[in-house]
Amino acid sequence: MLKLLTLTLLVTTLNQSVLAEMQNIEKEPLLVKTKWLNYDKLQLKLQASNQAKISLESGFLIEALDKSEIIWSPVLPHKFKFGKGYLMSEKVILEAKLPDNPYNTGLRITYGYCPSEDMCKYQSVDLLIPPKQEI
Amino acid sequence: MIRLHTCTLIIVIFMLTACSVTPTVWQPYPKKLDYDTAKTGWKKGNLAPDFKFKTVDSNEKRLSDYEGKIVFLHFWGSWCKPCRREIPQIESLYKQIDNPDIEFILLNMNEEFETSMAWMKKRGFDLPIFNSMSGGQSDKTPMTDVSGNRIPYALEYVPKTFVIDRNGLIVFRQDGSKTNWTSYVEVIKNVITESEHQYP
Repeated sequence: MLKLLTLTLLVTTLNQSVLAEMQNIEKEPLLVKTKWLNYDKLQLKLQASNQAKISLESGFLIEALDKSEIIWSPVLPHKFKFGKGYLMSEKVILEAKLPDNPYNTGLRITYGYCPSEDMCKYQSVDLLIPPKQEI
Repeated sequence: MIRLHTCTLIIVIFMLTACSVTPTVWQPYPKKLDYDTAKTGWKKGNLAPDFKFKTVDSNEKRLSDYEGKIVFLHFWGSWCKPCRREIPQIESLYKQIDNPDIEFILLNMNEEFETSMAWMKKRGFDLPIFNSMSGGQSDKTPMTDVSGNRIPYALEYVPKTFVIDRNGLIVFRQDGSKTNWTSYVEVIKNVITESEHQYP
């Protein structure tokens, strides 16, 4: 009886671990790395967090949080599309040319996230553009 | 006594675990429905919120326009793989039911209507699609009710399906895709007779 109880508790604990992992993915399924390539060129790289299913077919909509501060190339909002399936490997989605402008501002990336094989939703992540002195 | 408590604990744990994985199944139609006191919302047993959408000819429609009919309301998007996967099944269900008392309403979510329409047309589906006026993927809660308020969080995930009876009551809700929609033909047809005596 004690073994059965231990086994049941173990299964419950494992279920909770899986749930916690799912909640962690749910928190931020998309990882975004930003890097200044040179003085006026910002690179964004996207990667799925911990095998999260990020839909490529829905594309990645990039919007500027503060449209007044930066002239983007390509002009934002812009939708990047890569094809079918899910984001499996790291993708470079944006190499924005930023004209001489001292202001830092933010970007919003909206993407399709499928937490299971049966459903999907749109999710957004906001990120701050790093200061240029970090080049 | 300790053994009895242990057994009770195990049973409770198993019941909780079982509840968490129980799939959505059809429940017997409620016999005593009080439509006057039912809350408005997207849960089963709620009165479906009224909202606006458009036909392919850009004519404005409201869900309340279908009062007196059974509505199979389905939210989807061609960008969503699970949604695409079940469309052939829903098409099959639609053709098998073929009953003027049941209206199928498919609403696009988070994509331009033209994109949804083109996807359906290219694959030769005849399902009646309508424009939720979502306007694109950045708008997460794109639909508005008749007062202009946003439709709440419950619709964020797609696909999502509701069967609404003659009185506007949600009698079935499915979150996520299904692969056996055709097994629901008789069940959905039965809503016509089951809700008939309730309809004034």
